[in-house]
Amino acid sequence: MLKIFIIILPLFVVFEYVQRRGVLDWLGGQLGGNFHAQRFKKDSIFPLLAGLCFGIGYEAGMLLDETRLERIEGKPTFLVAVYLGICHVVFEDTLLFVAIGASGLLLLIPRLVAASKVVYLLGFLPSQFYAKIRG
Amino acid sequence: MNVSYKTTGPTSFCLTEFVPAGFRRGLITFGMLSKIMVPVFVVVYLLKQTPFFDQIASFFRPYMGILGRPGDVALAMVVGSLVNLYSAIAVLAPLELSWQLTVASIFLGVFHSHLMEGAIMYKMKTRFLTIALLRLAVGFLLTWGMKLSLL
Repeated sequence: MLKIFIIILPLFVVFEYVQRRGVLDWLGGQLGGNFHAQRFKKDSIFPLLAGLCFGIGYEAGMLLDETRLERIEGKPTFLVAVYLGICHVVFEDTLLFVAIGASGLLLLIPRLVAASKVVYLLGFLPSQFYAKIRG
Repeated sequence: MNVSYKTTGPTSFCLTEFVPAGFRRGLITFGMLSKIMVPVFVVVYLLKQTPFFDQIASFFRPYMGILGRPGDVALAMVVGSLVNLYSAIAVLAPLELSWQLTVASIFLGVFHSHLMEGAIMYKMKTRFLTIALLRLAVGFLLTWGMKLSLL
Protein backbone atom coordinates (compact mmCIF):
# COMPACT_ATOMS: atom_id res chain seq x y z
CA MET A 1 0.00 0.00 0.00
CA LEU A 2 2.89 2.35 0.71
CA LYS A 3 4.19 1.74 -2.81
CA ILE A 4 0.81 2.70 -4.24
CA PHE A 5 0.74 5.83 -2.10
CA ILE A 6 4.21 6.87 -3.27
CA ILE A 7 3.37 6.32 -6.93
CA ILE A 8 -0.14 7.72 -6.98
CA LEU A 9 0.57 11.21 -5.57
CA PRO A 10 3.17 12.32 -8.18
CA LEU A 11 1.09 10.60 -10.85
CA PHE A 12 -1.88 12.77 -10.00
CA VAL A 13 0.21 15.93 -9.89
CA VAL A 14 1.47 15.16 -13.40
CA PHE A 15 -2.04 14.25 -14.47
CA GLU A 16 -3.39 17.53 -13.18
CA TYR A 17 -0.71 19.48 -15.02
CA VAL A 18 -1.18 17.49 -18.20
CA GLN A 19 -4.92 18.05 -18.14
CA ARG A 20 -4.54 21.78 -17.61
CA ARG A 21 -1.96 22.09 -20.36
CA GLY A 22 -4.19 20.33 -22.84
CA VAL A 23 -1.45 17.81 -23.62
CA LEU A 24 -4.12 15.16 -23.89
CA ASP A 25 -5.54 16.74 -27.03
CA TRP A 26 -2.13 16.55 -28.63
CA LEU A 27 -1.48 13.04 -27.36
CA GLY A 28 -4.91 11.94 -28.52
CA GLY A 29 -4.03 13.12 -32.00
CA GLN A 30 -0.64 11.40 -31.95
CA LEU A 31 -1.89 8.07 -30.69
CA GLY A 32 -5.16 8.22 -32.60
CA GLY A 33 -4.42 5.32 -34.88
CA ASN A 34 -3.05 3.03 -32.24
CA PHE A 35 -5.36 3.62 -29.31
CA HIS A 36 -8.54 4.39 -31.22
CA ALA A 37 -8.76 7.73 -29.48
CA GLN A 38 -12.13 8.50 -31.00
CA ARG A 39 -13.61 5.68 -29.02
CA PHE A 40 -11.50 6.09 -25.91
CA LYS A 41 -12.02 9.86 -25.56
CA LYS A 42 -9.02 11.97 -24.73
CA ASP A 43 -9.38 12.11 -20.95
CA SER A 44 -9.01 8.35 -20.70
CA ILE A 45 -5.68 8.21 -22.55
CA PHE A 46 -3.52 9.25 -19.60
CA PRO A 47 -5.11 6.70 -17.24
CA LEU A 48 -4.55 4.16 -19.99
CA LEU A 49 -0.84 4.92 -20.21
CA ALA A 50 -0.57 4.88 -16.41
CA GLY A 51 -2.23 1.48 -16.37
CA LEU A 52 0.08 0.14 -19.07
CA CYS A 53 3.18 1.16 -17.15
CA PHE A 54 2.28 0.92 -13.47
CA GLY A 55 -0.76 -1.27 -12.97
CA ILE A 56 -4.47 -1.55 -12.90
CA GLY A 57 -4.72 -0.11 -9.40
CA TYR A 58 -3.29 3.25 -10.44
CA GLU A 59 -5.17 3.30 -13.70
CA ALA A 60 -8.42 2.43 -11.96
CA GLY A 61 -7.70 5.12 -9.41
CA MET A 62 -7.41 7.72 -12.13
CA LEU A 63 -10.52 6.45 -13.86
CA LEU A 64 -12.34 6.52 -10.52
CA ASP A 65 -11.37 10.13 -10.19
CA GLU A 66 -12.46 10.89 -13.75
CA THR A 67 -15.83 9.23 -13.27
CA ARG A 68 -16.22 11.00 -9.93
CA LEU A 69 -15.74 14.32 -11.72
CA GLU A 70 -18.03 12.99 -14.48
CA ARG A 71 -15.60 13.67 -17.28
CA ILE A 72 -15.80 10.28 -18.95
CA GLU A 73 -18.82 8.03 -19.06
CA GLY A 74 -19.88 4.43 -19.68
CA LYS A 75 -18.45 3.49 -23.03
CA PRO A 76 -14.89 4.85 -22.75
CA THR A 77 -14.62 3.53 -19.19
CA PHE A 78 -15.66 0.08 -20.29
CA LEU A 79 -13.31 0.08 -23.27
CA VAL A 80 -10.35 1.23 -21.20
CA ALA A 81 -11.20 -1.35 -18.57
CA VAL A 82 -11.28 -4.08 -21.21
CA TYR A 83 -8.02 -2.92 -22.78
CA LEU A 84 -6.28 -2.85 -19.44
CA GLY A 85 -7.92 -6.02 -18.26
CA ILE A 86 -6.20 -7.85 -21.08
CA CYS A 87 -3.01 -5.88 -21.11
CA HIS A 88 -1.61 -4.02 -18.11
CA VAL A 89 1.66 -3.62 -16.23
CA VAL A 90 3.15 -5.03 -19.42
CA PHE A 91 6.73 -4.34 -18.38
CA GLU A 92 6.74 -5.64 -14.82
CA ASP A 93 4.66 -8.75 -15.54
CA THR A 94 6.69 -9.67 -18.58
CA LEU A 95 9.96 -9.21 -16.70
CA LEU A 96 8.68 -11.45 -13.92
CA PHE A 97 8.09 -14.27 -16.38
CA VAL A 98 11.32 -13.64 -18.26
CA ALA A 99 13.10 -13.97 -14.92
CA ILE A 100 11.95 -17.59 -14.63
CA GLY A 101 12.75 -18.34 -18.27
CA ALA A 102 9.82 -17.47 -20.52
CA SER A 103 10.21 -15.64 -23.81
CA GLY A 104 9.58 -11.93 -23.33
CA LEU A 105 8.57 -10.89 -26.85
CA LEU A 106 6.21 -13.81 -27.19
CA LEU A 107 4.46 -12.62 -24.03
CA LEU A 108 4.39 -8.92 -24.80
CA ILE A 109 3.35 -8.65 -28.43
CA PRO A 110 0.35 -11.03 -28.46
CA ARG A 111 -1.10 -9.27 -25.43
CA LEU A 112 -0.82 -5.81 -26.98
CA VAL A 113 -2.24 -6.97 -30.28
CA ALA A 114 -5.08 -8.93 -28.69
CA ALA A 115 -6.08 -6.00 -26.47
CA SER A 116 -6.13 -3.57 -29.41
CA LYS A 117 -8.14 -5.92 -31.56
CA VAL A 118 -10.74 -6.72 -28.90
CA VAL A 119 -11.24 -3.05 -28.07
CA TYR A 120 -11.41 -2.21 -31.75
CA LEU A 121 -14.16 -4.78 -32.28
CA LEU A 122 -16.07 -3.75 -29.14
CA GLY A 123 -15.92 -0.14 -30.26
CA PHE A 124 -18.38 -0.90 -33.03
CA LEU A 125 -21.14 -1.58 -30.51
CA PRO A 126 -23.46 1.44 -30.08
CA SER A 127 -23.35 3.62 -26.96
CA GLN A 128 -26.83 2.54 -25.87
CA PHE A 129 -25.47 -0.94 -25.33
CA TYR A 130 -22.91 0.41 -22.88
CA ALA A 131 -25.53 2.43 -21.05
CA LYS A 132 -27.38 -0.82 -20.47
CA ILE A 133 -24.47 -2.90 -19.24
CA ARG A 134 -23.13 -0.23 -16.93
CA GLY A 135 -23.39 -1.84 -13.49
CA MET B 1 -6.62 25.57 -25.97
CA ASN B 2 -9.36 23.32 -24.72
CA VAL B 3 -10.29 24.31 -21.16
CA SER B 4 -12.42 21.37 -20.14
CA TYR B 5 -11.29 21.61 -16.52
CA LYS B 6 -14.28 22.37 -14.37
CA THR B 7 -13.54 21.71 -10.69
CA THR B 8 -11.16 24.35 -9.40
CA GLY B 9 -12.10 27.39 -11.41
CA PRO B 10 -9.88 29.01 -14.02
CA THR B 11 -7.06 27.04 -15.57
CA SER B 12 -3.70 27.88 -14.02
CA PHE B 13 -0.21 26.55 -14.67
CA CYS B 14 1.25 28.01 -11.47
CA LEU B 15 3.13 25.46 -9.36
CA THR B 16 1.29 26.43 -6.18
CA GLU B 17 -2.01 25.85 -7.97
CA PHE B 18 -1.79 22.54 -9.74
CA VAL B 19 0.49 20.69 -7.31
CA PRO B 20 -1.90 20.95 -4.33
CA ALA B 21 -4.85 20.25 -6.61
CA GLY B 22 -3.17 17.10 -7.93
CA PHE B 23 -2.23 16.06 -4.40
CA ARG B 24 -5.79 16.45 -3.25
CA ARG B 25 -7.10 14.31 -6.08
CA GLY B 26 -4.39 11.74 -5.38
CA LEU B 27 -5.34 11.58 -1.69
CA ILE B 28 -9.06 11.21 -2.42
CA THR B 29 -8.30 8.44 -4.90
CA PHE B 30 -5.93 6.71 -2.51
CA GLY B 31 -8.68 6.72 0.11
CA MET B 32 -11.14 5.14 -2.34
CA LEU B 33 -8.60 2.52 -3.41
CA SER B 34 -7.63 1.52 0.12
CA LYS B 35 -11.27 1.01 1.06
CA ILE B 36 -11.35 -1.80 -1.55
CA MET B 37 -7.84 -3.16 -1.41
CA VAL B 38 -7.29 -3.61 2.32
CA PRO B 39 -10.29 -5.95 2.82
CA VAL B 40 -9.23 -7.98 -0.23
CA PHE B 41 -5.68 -8.29 1.11
CA VAL B 42 -7.07 -9.67 4.38
CA VAL B 43 -9.39 -12.16 2.66
CA VAL B 44 -6.61 -13.42 0.37
CA TYR B 45 -4.26 -13.84 3.33
CA LEU B 46 -6.87 -15.86 5.23
CA LEU B 47 -7.70 -18.04 2.19
CA LYS B 48 -4.01 -18.86 1.75
CA GLN B 49 -3.98 -20.48 5.21
CA THR B 50 -6.70 -22.95 4.15
CA PRO B 51 -6.50 -25.75 1.51
CA PHE B 52 -9.02 -23.84 -0.62
CA PHE B 53 -6.69 -23.22 -3.57
CA ASP B 54 -5.39 -26.80 -3.59
CA GLN B 55 -8.92 -28.13 -3.88
CA ILE B 56 -9.75 -25.93 -6.86
CA ALA B 57 -6.47 -26.91 -8.50
CA SER B 58 -7.14 -30.63 -8.12
CA PHE B 59 -10.49 -30.09 -9.83
CA PHE B 60 -8.83 -28.49 -12.88
CA ARG B 61 -5.77 -30.77 -13.05
CA PRO B 62 -7.18 -33.37 -15.52
CA TYR B 63 -8.14 -30.69 -18.08
CA MET B 64 -4.68 -29.18 -18.39
CA GLY B 65 -3.72 -31.57 -21.21
CA ILE B 66 -6.15 -29.83 -23.56
CA LEU B 67 -3.98 -26.73 -23.52
CA GLY B 68 -0.77 -28.72 -23.71
CA ARG B 69 0.31 -28.18 -20.15
CA PRO B 70 1.26 -30.67 -17.45
CA GLY B 71 -1.08 -31.05 -14.49
CA ASP B 72 1.21 -29.29 -12.04
CA VAL B 73 0.54 -25.99 -13.77
CA ALA B 74 -3.06 -26.15 -12.54
CA LEU B 75 -2.14 -24.91 -9.08
CA ALA B 76 -0.10 -22.05 -10.53
CA MET B 77 -2.99 -21.06 -12.78
CA VAL B 78 -5.55 -21.13 -9.97
CA VAL B 79 -3.36 -19.20 -7.55
CA GLY B 80 -2.33 -16.77 -10.27
CA SER B 81 -5.81 -16.07 -11.52
CA LEU B 82 -7.20 -15.54 -8.02
CA VAL B 83 -4.37 -14.11 -5.93
CA ASN B 84 -1.54 -12.52 -7.94
CA LEU B 85 1.31 -13.23 -10.30
CA TYR B 86 3.95 -13.36 -7.59
CA SER B 87 2.38 -16.41 -5.97
CA ALA B 88 1.88 -18.03 -9.39
CA ILE B 89 5.57 -17.55 -10.17
CA ALA B 90 6.50 -19.03 -6.81
CA VAL B 91 4.64 -22.17 -7.91
CA LEU B 92 5.90 -22.16 -11.53
CA ALA B 93 9.58 -21.48 -10.90
CA PRO B 94 10.60 -24.91 -9.49
CA LEU B 95 8.72 -26.89 -12.19
CA GLU B 96 11.48 -26.75 -14.88
CA LEU B 97 9.23 -26.31 -17.91
CA SER B 98 10.57 -25.30 -21.30
CA TRP B 99 8.21 -23.94 -23.97
CA GLN B 100 5.27 -24.80 -21.73
CA LEU B 101 6.35 -22.04 -19.40
CA THR B 102 5.77 -19.42 -22.10
CA VAL B 103 2.39 -20.93 -22.89
CA ALA B 104 1.40 -20.96 -19.22
CA SER B 105 2.60 -17.45 -18.61
CA ILE B 106 0.75 -15.87 -21.51
CA PHE B 107 -2.47 -17.19 -20.04
CA LEU B 108 -1.50 -15.88 -16.62
CA GLY B 109 -0.45 -12.57 -18.11
CA VAL B 110 -3.94 -12.01 -19.49
CA PHE B 111 -5.96 -13.65 -16.71
CA HIS B 112 -4.72 -12.91 -13.21
CA SER B 113 -5.41 -11.51 -9.72
CA HIS B 114 -9.15 -11.56 -10.06
CA LEU B 115 -9.96 -11.09 -6.40
CA MET B 116 -8.16 -7.74 -6.34
CA GLU B 117 -8.85 -6.53 -9.85
CA GLY B 118 -12.48 -7.61 -9.72
CA ALA B 119 -12.92 -5.50 -6.60
CA ILE B 120 -11.30 -2.50 -8.28
CA MET B 121 -13.35 -2.94 -11.44
CA TYR B 122 -16.49 -3.22 -9.32
CA LYS B 123 -15.63 0.09 -7.71
CA MET B 124 -15.11 1.57 -11.18
CA LYS B 125 -18.75 0.69 -11.94
CA THR B 126 -17.91 -1.39 -14.97
CA ARG B 127 -19.15 -4.93 -15.38
CA PHE B 128 -16.23 -6.86 -13.93
CA LEU B 129 -17.78 -10.23 -14.78
CA THR B 130 -18.05 -9.28 -18.46
CA ILE B 131 -14.44 -8.16 -18.42
CA ALA B 132 -13.29 -11.30 -16.62
CA LEU B 133 -15.06 -13.48 -19.20
CA LEU B 134 -13.50 -11.49 -22.05
CA ARG B 135 -10.08 -11.91 -20.47
CA LEU B 136 -10.68 -15.64 -20.06
CA ALA B 137 -11.67 -15.95 -23.72
CA VAL B 138 -8.67 -13.94 -24.90
CA GLY B 139 -6.39 -15.92 -22.58
CA PHE B 140 -7.57 -19.22 -24.03
CA LEU B 141 -7.32 -17.94 -27.60
CA LEU B 142 -3.76 -16.73 -27.10
CA THR B 143 -2.77 -19.92 -25.30
CA TRP B 144 -4.28 -22.06 -28.01
CA GLY B 145 -2.65 -20.05 -30.78
CA MET B 146 0.69 -20.19 -29.05
CA LYS B 147 0.40 -23.93 -28.46
CA LEU B 148 -0.26 -24.42 -32.17
CA SER B 149 2.62 -22.24 -33.25
CA LEU B 150 5.17 -23.51 -30.76
CA LEU B 151 4.49 -27.23 -31.04
